[in-house]
Amino acid sequence: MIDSLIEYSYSLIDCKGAYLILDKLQLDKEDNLVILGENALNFESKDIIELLEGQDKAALLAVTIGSSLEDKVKELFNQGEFTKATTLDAIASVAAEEVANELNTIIKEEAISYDLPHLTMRFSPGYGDLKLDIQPKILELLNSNELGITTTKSNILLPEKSITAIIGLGRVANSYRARCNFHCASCKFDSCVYN
Amino acid sequence: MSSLLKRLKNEVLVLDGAMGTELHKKGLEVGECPEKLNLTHPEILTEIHRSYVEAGSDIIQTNTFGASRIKLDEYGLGEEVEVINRKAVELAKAAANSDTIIAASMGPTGKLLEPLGDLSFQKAYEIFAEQAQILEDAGVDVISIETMTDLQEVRAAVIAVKENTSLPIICHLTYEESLKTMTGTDPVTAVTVLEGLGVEVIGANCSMGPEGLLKIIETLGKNTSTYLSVEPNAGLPILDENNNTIFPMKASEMASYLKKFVDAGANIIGGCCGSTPEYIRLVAEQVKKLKPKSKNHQAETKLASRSKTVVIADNLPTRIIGERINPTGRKELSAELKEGKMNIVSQEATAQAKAGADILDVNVGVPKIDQVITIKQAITTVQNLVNLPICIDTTDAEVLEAALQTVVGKPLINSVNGEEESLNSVLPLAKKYGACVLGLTLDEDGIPKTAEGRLQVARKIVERALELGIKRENILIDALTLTASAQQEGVQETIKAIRLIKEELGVATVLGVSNISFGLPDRKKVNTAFLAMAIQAGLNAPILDPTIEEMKATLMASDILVNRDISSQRYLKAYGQNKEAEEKKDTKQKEKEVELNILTQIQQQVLTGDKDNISDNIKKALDDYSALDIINQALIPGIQEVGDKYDEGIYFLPQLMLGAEAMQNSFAILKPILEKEGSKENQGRIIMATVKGDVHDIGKNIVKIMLQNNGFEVIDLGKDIANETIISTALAKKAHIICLSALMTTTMPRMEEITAKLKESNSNIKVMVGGAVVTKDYADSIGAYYSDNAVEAVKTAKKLVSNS
Repeated sequence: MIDSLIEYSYSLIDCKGAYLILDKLQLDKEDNLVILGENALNFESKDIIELLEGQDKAALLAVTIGSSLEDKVKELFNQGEFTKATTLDAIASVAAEEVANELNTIIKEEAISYDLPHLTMRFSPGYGDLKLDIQPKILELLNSNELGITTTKSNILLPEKSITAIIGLGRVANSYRARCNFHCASCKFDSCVYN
Repeated sequence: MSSLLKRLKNEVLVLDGAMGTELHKKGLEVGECPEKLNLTHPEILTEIHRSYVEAGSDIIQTNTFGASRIKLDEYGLGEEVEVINRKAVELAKAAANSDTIIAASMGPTGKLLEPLGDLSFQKAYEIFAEQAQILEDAGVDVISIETMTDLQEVRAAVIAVKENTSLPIICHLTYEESLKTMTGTDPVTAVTVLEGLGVEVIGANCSMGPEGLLKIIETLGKNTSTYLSVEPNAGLPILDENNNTIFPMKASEMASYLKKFVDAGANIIGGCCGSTPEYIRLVAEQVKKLKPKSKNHQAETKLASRSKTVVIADNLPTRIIGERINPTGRKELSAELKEGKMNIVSQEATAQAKAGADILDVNVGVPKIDQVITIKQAITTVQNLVNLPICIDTTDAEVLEAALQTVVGKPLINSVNGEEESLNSVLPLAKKYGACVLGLTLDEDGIPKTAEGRLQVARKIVERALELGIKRENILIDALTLTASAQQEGVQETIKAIRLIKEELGVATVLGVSNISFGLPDRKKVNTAFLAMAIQAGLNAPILDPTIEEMKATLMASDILVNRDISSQRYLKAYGQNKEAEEKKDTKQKEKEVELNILTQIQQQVLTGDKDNISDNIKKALDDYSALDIINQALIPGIQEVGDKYDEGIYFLPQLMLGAEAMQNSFAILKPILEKEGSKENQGRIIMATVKGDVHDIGKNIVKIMLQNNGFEVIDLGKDIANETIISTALAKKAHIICLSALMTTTMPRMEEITAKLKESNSNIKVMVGGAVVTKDYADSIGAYYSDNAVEAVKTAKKLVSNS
């Protein structure tokens, strides 16, 4: 069943993505203020300061797999096809991550052309202290209307299976990442990215 | 003998610490393949290995945890499996001292094996075999299988290494706070299976603190004399204000733990995730002062399922091998097996388990069917329903091997006999798959007439098995029952043979008893008398029908008389009430038995998520039962059992959903009837919503379904719902509970607002909260109730309603 659902999901996935590389990074450690580009984006975040420390440029990205697949999930749920619905929902999440990974690769290629071969982790609003209210600004910079991504009043992305993120590009590696709280005993993941 | 095993005799050895954490420290990015560094940054690996060697590690582990073809494939590196593994060994060797032992690390495939997932046993075996062969050829001293959680994957890995290399194995399973692995295996069962497979060192590593791990090692130490390995941590390292790594546990405290581990029987100590060379240095300093404790655990005949071990011994109660899953002389079962249906198999499995069987015999010997496919199906069906070990009943080697690959745990093979062909085909399979094997005392010349003749065949079987490396405790002998009506003089020869075999060979005995009465009237009378005699002679595990009350009664009574049921505990538990009540219950039960059939079937169909066939049975059941009875006696117990299996880690979300679908299909038929009858009985009324500003609702929907299936009336307001709407609906509908879902920290405060509003208005409606970011602490802090998952949510809701 899983295989056939994966096969089926291709017909409902409409992936789109956009990215923008900003330079002129200003990191004000005193006020935890981050300014990217010519004041294109400014916000407060200690985590992003750590992430972009020593980096030369920063990429903004947004991806989505469209809303057809999540509509189908809802439809299946309403029809009582719970197994298919939950499985398809999981497929959708994986698909969105994969699209983001793909865009990551494209960004990396461009970064290498600037001689900035090291990419930081993909840091999304909602991780650490990076607030969700930055979402509309990121989307605006990326002309998200063309992608079909919008936000709710509380700054949650629509379609649900969409991702926005910031990545640092640098000459040297910065392996800063959103820290885990190391509550390993209650962790539900099969494998640990920290190990 | 390998240097590892030689040194373990007198020394406690120190393993190394974490590889992954060290790699990340040195710049490995998340999403990168850690094993690729063997090729791209060999200097990093040499440095890490060297730092562990210098810190005092006697054994270092190669950077090959994820270097199986299937894991490497995830990074498109599958074709480089050989160079990556070879290079890893080379790097470890380069850093090693002359006496450093090189252990090759092998981790899980990352896929779930059948029946939990879709990776076949054979495929997993091939993947592990390939990696192990490369590693042996590259010159490692031992294979270290690590961080395993699925007993079936452990079997595949160990068998692959054993069959394809001559290296000793250290096998670490990962246990959780519950002291079980993620898929429900306890340490005693792990020992049973791993010892059966001949693993040289049994280990445990895990993410919990040292206290929990100590309990595991203590349990292992009490149940095995095999060497033990443990990878504890001194609490996970934290950064101090100067960004230096420090351990929360003081050296003195850690020393006392290390001593406790060694006292409990640990022979190898290393470090788990987060542990560093500094930590290993501390371990080495302490451990080198200690001597290993010798463990003198008596070898026992043990069988196991995924989550349960059954010990067969003379001082323990007689074990029942349930015989009912066998198509011989049973037309309906034969017909079902022919069609590939498993309904009767399911019913027989549950019924026998309920009646007290300890082990279930599975026989699918129907002529002209593909028994390979059928036995796999049957074993999977049985093991999904009950947690009893399996007795594989076939003499066909191909069918046997398929069954041995499918079965989880340590099974009993039924059977081998004294014929050359049988010995040559069955015994190697028993050895390979670490199973117990039952030998029938017959050979090319048939069944020997005398007890001495049967002893001789038994002797031959035991000798041949021992020669192949099968341990004595893994051999059982059946002295064979003849029919009293045909060969009356032979009955006592069987009894005598049991005695002789016990005395001379010291192995456990099995006997199919019901044959004795063939051709006689009122067979139970003869069967029970014979069973009592055989138990007296030393029978450990009769094959019988446990649903026949008289047989069970005779068995329990006999156990008292041969001093196996200590203080008559089991007998008293079964027959403690006064006789009158017993008889009443008996007739009542019999009436019920007939009735229950269709309800049991429905319950079973919920359990197996058989949504296609359940509707027919519901309609059938409606002839005799009210809709409410069907719900309360079949559907609810079914979905509860599904919930229990989910809790135990046997079922996952898909099975939960399949069960839910079967429930919904049933409700679709029953609901209109309930409404017509005007029955308003339900568990309670629940208002449900994803809070304002949040649009995520898959979790909420899953919880909703589970609540509905457990008899709650759920009013689902949807997602992005304003506080006022939720509260006013709850008040208007006189709800008992409000369930709220939120996925983001930014929308979570709505939960607090709603809870506070309710309090202000003096409402006694309870609030339950859940969602990715919601924790128990948060729920407690706002005065709401928290559940971790849908199954728990049902339990919480029931508690809240019954308390209000």
